[in-house]
Amino acid sequence: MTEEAMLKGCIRNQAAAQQELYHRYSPKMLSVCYRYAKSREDAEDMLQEGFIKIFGQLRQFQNRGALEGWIRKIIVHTCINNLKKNKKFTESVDLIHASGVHIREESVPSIVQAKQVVECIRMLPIGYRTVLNLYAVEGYSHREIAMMLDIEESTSRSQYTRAKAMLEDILVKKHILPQYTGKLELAAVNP
Amino acid sequence: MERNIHIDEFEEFLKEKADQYKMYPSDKAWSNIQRSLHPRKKWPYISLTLLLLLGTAVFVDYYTYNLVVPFKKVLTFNNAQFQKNNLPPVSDAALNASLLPPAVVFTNGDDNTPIPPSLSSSIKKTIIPSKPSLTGNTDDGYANNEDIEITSEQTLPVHSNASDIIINPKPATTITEDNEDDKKIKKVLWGGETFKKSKFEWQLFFSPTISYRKLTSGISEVTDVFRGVPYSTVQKNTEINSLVTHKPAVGAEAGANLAYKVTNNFLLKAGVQLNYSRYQLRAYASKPEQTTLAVVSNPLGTDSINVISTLQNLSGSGSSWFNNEYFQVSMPVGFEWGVLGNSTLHWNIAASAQPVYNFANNVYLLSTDFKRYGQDPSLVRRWNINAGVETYVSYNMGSFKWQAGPQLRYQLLSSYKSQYPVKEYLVDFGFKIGVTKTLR
Repeated sequence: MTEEAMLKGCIRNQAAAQQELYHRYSPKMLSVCYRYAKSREDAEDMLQEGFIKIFGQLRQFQNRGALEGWIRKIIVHTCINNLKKNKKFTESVDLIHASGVHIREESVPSIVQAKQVVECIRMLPIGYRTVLNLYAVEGYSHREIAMMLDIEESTSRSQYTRAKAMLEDILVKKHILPQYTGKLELAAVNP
Repeated sequence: MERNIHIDEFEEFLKEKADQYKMYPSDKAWSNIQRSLHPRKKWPYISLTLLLLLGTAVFVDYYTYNLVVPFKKVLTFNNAQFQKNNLPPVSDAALNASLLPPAVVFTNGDDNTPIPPSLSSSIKKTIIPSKPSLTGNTDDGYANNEDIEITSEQTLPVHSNASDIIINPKPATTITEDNEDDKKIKKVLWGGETFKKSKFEWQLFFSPTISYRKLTSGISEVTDVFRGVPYSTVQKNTEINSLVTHKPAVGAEAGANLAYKVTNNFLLKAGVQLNYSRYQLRAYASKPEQTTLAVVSNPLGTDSINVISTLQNLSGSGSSWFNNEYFQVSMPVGFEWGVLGNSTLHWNIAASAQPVYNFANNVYLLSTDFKRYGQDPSLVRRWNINAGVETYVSYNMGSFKWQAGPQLRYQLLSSYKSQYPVKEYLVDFGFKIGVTKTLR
C-alpha cells in the first residue's frame, strides 16, 4: 500500500489502512515513548494515546513534510503531556556528578547496541532524561523545550548539561564507552 | 521546530542509537486503539437492556392482572330490560366490582352482617354502596378475566346504585357452559371474540457463557501433514494441548424462538440466535516475521500459506492474553420437554441443533513449527453446526413464563477448514435466562 493510499484510507477511517500505518510506525514510536516513560506499560499507554490523536488529526497533515516527523512530533508531545500530568521536572540529582568527562572521537564503538544506550538514557532522573531526549535526540532548542515543559530556558540548559555529564559517566561505567584518553570539546555542546 | 545547530558527535551518537532502537508493541495496544477508533457493536448489552425492559413490562402486566377479583362469581342483574339496553353501564359496575379489594365484605342486605363465602350461594348479597365508588369504563384488563359471567335472571333496579348489583357465586354448571346470550354479552363486554389460547409461543432469551475449546490433533498427524515443511522438533507423542497456553473467557448468546405446543409438556421450537464465543491464548509480542501454516491441499500432499506473524507462542518477553473470538448467527431447531412440576413451577429439559454462520472472527492459528501464531481468515469455517442441551426451571406468571437454567453448546465440526490439520471444537457453558409469552 502506498503512503498516499494509506493516508486516504486512514482519513476514511478504514481499519486496514490504519493498521498498516500503525505497523509501519509503531516500533519506532514505541521506542520514543519508552525513552520518556517509567516502564514499558506506560510507554504503550502513551503510544496508544498518541496514535489515537494521530488518527484523529490526520486530516491536518496535508503532506507537508515527512509523515514520520509529523507522527513523531505528536508522539513526543503526548509523552510530555503525560509526564507533565504526573511528574515535575525539577527532581534533584542523586547520582555522582561526572565532572570532567570527555569523549574521544574514536572512542565511540560502532558495535554498541542501541538498546544499551537507550537503557542508559532511561537510568537518568526523569527531568534530566526528558530534557536530554528533547534536545539531543529530538532536536528541539532550549527555548522550545522551555515552552514545552513550562520551565526557564536557563533551567533547560543546566538540566541538559548535567544530564549529559551523567549519561557519559553511566556509559563509561557500563563499558559502553571506553574511558577517554583524549579530550573532545564538550563546551561545543553548550548552545 | 528549529533544529539546534550545536550538535556534537555525542548528540549524534545518542540520536543514531536511539533511532536504531525499535520496540514492538503488544497486540493489545493495537486492539485498544482499534476499539477506540471503531467501537464494538453493543448488541449483547442492548439485548440485556431489552430483556430487562421486557421483564419490567411483564411485572406491570402481572400486577395489573392480579387486580382482578381472584375468585369466581356471577354478577346477576335484576333488570332484564336494563341488561339489554345498558350493557356498557353493566360493565362499569362489573369493572368496579372486579376492582374491589380482597377485604370487601359481602353482607346481608338487611342488617349488614358479614356472610361467610361458603353461605353466599344461597343468600342474596350486596356490595356496600359507599365503597368503592362506581366509576370506570369497559376497556381494560377485565376482559381477561374468564371467571366473570353476567346473567339476567332477576329483575331489580338499575345499576346507578351499586347496592342494586347482586353478586352470586357462579354455579358450577355455568363455568364451562356458555349459552348464546352469554357469548353475545362476552363479545360486547370484551370487545371481540372470546379468548382462546394459541398453541404458539414466542421466547426471548439471553445467556452469559463461559467459552472454551477442545483441540484434538496429535503431533504425529500434524508432522505428517507438515512433511516437507520445516517444523518443530517436539516429540511426536506430545499432545498439542501441552504446546499452547489457553484459558476460557466470557461470551454471550441472545435470541428468539417460536415454539409450537404439541402437547402440554412437549414443544417444538425454532428461532434465531446470536453467539459471541471466545477463549484466550497466551503469546508474546515480537517483531513481524513470516510464518508458515501448512495445509492439506489434496489427499496426496501438502501446501502451505505464509502469513505475517507478530506473536510468538512458546517464549518471548512480555506475554499477553489474546482473544480467539467468533461472532455467529444460528438457527436453532429443537424441542422442550416438561419433566416435572405444576402449572406455576416446572422443570424442563431441551435440546436443539443449531446451523451456524460465522459472520466475523478474530482467530489466531498455530504455525507449522508451533512457535508462532498467525491469522488467516480463509482457513476458518464459515458454516458449522452446534448441538445444544439445557435444563431449566420455568415460572408461570399469567401469559408470561420466566425460565432460568444451565446450558451447554458444543460445536460439532472443527472451527477450521479440513485443510488445516489442527482441529478445534468450541464448547460454551452458559446460564440462560428467558421469557416466554403465549400468543393469542
